[in-house]
Amino acid sequence: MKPMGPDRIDERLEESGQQVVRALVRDLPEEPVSLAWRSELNEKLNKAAASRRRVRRFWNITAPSLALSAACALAFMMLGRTGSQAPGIGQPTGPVVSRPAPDLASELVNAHQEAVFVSDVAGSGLAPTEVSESSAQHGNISDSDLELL
Amino acid sequence: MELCLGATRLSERRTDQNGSEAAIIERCRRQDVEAFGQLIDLYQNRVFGFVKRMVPNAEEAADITQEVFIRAYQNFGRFDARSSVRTWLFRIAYHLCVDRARKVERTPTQVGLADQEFGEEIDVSDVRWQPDQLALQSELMDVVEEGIRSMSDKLRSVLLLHDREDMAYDEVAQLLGVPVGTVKSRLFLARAHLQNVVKAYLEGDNGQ
Repeated sequence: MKPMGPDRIDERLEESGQQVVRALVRDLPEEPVSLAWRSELNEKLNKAAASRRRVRRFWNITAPSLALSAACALAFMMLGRTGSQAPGIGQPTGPVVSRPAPDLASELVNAHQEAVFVSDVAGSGLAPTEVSESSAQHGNISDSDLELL
Repeated sequence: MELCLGATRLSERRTDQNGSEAAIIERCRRQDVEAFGQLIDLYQNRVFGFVKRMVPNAEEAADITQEVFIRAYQNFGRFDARSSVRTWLFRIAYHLCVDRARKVERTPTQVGLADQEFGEEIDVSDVRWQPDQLALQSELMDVVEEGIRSMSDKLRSVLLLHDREDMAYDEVAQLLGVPVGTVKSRLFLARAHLQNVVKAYLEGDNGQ
């Protein structure tokens, strides 16, 4: 059989025999579904809806947590990278040696020793400043003043 | 005047129907089960009729039809409204039937061009509405159903979608993913096959 062109097939489809068959097919009885079928479908749909709701709720909770974790991980990664970068100009290259903080007890001992030393030199009645001041004043007395005494 | 008024009312009713269907579709997109139930009410019998004629087992057809609506509900977010909901539902139904046929590896009687006789006309429409011919009519419908069942899936799907569901050629072509020319040639072959089946029945009936 020769293949038909587009116009030819349109013509053949409009032939009465073809149209009778079309009418027969169109008039075939409808296939109604049963109520049991429908209620079974409703149950399945409700299950599907519940399952979707569960999945959606799970993601509503999980998604922000995952996003927060990812953000934290990223922040830690960025901080780690900044800490391990090479030092710039003027920044110390060697390890920083920590100097121990001055001990309070040794400070007190030092202060006490100095005070004892001063008292040994100047005597108990005069303070070191007084010693120096009196000696300075003594230096300003003239010989005539001494004679008057 | 009355005719014009009737046409206007009909047009308004269609617009209302389209509007209400659009509203139902919008609610279905938000996974509204109740709205989807309304959509099922609109299409359940048509989809079931299509599937039942595509699948020989009625129980299996009922299961497949349920699967059609469950899949539609689960994937309604993907429905892009480029085609109508009806086309979309029938597309799901068609693919499920094809998948099922692949699983069963059913090999229907293939109807080819070689074994067809074309052009001979039959006259069955004149007896259909006579009350005394109702039994014959019912028998004829059984013959038509049997003729549809004996076709290949490709011919049967085109025949049912175009002649039964009244879809346009391009709609059927879009649904099946074939060119319009292929749809037309398949439709011609399907009708010719059915024509031969009915003719054989009528000739046998007349002969008895």
